[in-house]
Amino acid sequence: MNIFNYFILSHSLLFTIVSALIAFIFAPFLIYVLKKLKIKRSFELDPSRGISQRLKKEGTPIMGGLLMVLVILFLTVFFNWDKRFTFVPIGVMCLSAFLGVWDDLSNIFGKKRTVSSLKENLAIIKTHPCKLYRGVLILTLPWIIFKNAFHIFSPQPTKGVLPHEKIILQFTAGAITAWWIVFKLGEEWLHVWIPFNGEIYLGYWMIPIIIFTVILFANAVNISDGLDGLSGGVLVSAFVGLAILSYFQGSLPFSILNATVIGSLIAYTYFNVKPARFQMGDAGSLSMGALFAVMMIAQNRLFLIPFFGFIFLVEIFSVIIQTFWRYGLGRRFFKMAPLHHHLELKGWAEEKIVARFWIINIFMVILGLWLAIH
Amino acid sequence: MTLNLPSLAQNVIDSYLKMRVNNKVIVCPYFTNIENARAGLRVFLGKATAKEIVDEVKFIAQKKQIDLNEISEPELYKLMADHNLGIDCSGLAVYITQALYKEKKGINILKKIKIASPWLNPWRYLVSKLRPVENISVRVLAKDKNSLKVKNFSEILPGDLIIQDNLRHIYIITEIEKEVDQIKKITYIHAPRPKDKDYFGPGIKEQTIFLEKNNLEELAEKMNHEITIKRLNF
Repeated sequence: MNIFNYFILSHSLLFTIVSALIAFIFAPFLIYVLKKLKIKRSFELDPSRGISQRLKKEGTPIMGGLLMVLVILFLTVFFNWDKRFTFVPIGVMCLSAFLGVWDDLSNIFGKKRTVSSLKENLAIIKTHPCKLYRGVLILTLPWIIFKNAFHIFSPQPTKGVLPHEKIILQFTAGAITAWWIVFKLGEEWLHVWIPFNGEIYLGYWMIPIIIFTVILFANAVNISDGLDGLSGGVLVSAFVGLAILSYFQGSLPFSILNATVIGSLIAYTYFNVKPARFQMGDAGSLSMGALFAVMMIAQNRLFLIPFFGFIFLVEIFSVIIQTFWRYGLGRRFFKMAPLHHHLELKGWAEEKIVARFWIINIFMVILGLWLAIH
Repeated sequence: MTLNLPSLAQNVIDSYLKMRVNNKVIVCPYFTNIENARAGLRVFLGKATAKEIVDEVKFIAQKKQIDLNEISEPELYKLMADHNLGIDCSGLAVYITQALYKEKKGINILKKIKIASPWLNPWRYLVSKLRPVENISVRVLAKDKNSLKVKNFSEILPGDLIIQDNLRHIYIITEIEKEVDQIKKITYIHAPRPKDKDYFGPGIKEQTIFLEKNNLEELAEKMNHEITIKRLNF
């Protein structure tokens, strides 16, 4: 482990500064463009519209996450391009950003979409006069079950990308990451580091673990992006942890990439704290969540994900718990999921929730770093 | 001699008869499952506790930015009816008897009531284990596996169930007045389905019947229904 590496440190700090400056300069322009194109938050179909503070955010530009994506893309392609190390993280980030942009734009300009229920389809199979049509429905039953399985986590009608469509694209992003880690980076990436214990060999079991982690975190950051400054601030602490790790590991490409992300996130969060000038939208949350997962895996610190991404995990598990409690036991566990909505409904001020979540995540990152040096 | 329900069961009844919603005290409305909904929150299925119903109406009011202190009682009932908030007859019976058996015998009837067979209907069995209250209907309570007929009319007690023979409704006896071995007065509580589909208002009724002949036929005649009196056999 490198205690002091002047070259990596100097370059990382430089990229943080440059990234932040470019993002600071570009942000007002992006806000202007988003407003002009009317790419704004609407609470028409948002279940959190009932929280009174929510409606004040109506009209805030979204897709502000493009700020981070474009700055990171630009700096990495021109100054930190490494076919072995930075090619895939950037590719996965862009793929996730594409999904996010599609979702954001569909939510604003698209038509309402729902998933036809399994019950409806079974009823059609039983009663429809056309045998061919019934046959087709029977053959596509697994697909219908698949769609409905993800629909329970997001049952509200939407104009955006449906949950099962998101999962497919995220699975693709995860699969690309898995291919890169398992087949391109080298044998050592098939070992997972455990603190105090060294490493354990997982081999091809890494593939499903990687796919699952990328999907989980893309959605976790997406779910957490509900309060001004929340996702941005927590991501800053998470990527600072990653940057410190990559510095200790002596990895120049990863250090610079993490530093670039930190700089753009600092600028983004500056404009995103309450009252937010823009929000990252799915374009930012899905891309940053996927990038975070990819970097944690690429730096072989999978075990530290629950520490560096603690708040994101808490938020996504609050949704999972709420869903299970609702459909499994017929009751609410939280007033509303994710957790930050529950706290809002309990009367916590938005700023208090955001500040406390930042602090908790910073603490967990410190704890994770302590574990990392053992 | 007057026989009453023990305190825990009476508290459950009071929680439905005197539901405090901010500055109002109302009687829990009746729930009608017109759409035959099955899954989802039990508070929208007529199977919730009084506290869950109150919490939900407050949550809905918060979402719709309605000040519950400012609206009138009829408006509150309408709000609840529009969101399917209320209790149905079997839900009420379950919660009262659950409290009764917990206090009297230390038994949780939700773990004892047989709803579905694990061999004939494993899925329903699993669902009923996770969500027992939603799966206990009048028919389930009336099954011989769960309740036995009280053969001697003079031996009926508070907590016994009066079940319509068509299994469409259930009443719970809350008080009995006896002279020697003759039952003179029966008080019962129930959540009757309103006759008017658009009705919104109190949904639980406590009624008293005075008896002279001390038999089931007289009670049935005064209640205008063919009935059986059963007691959970736990």
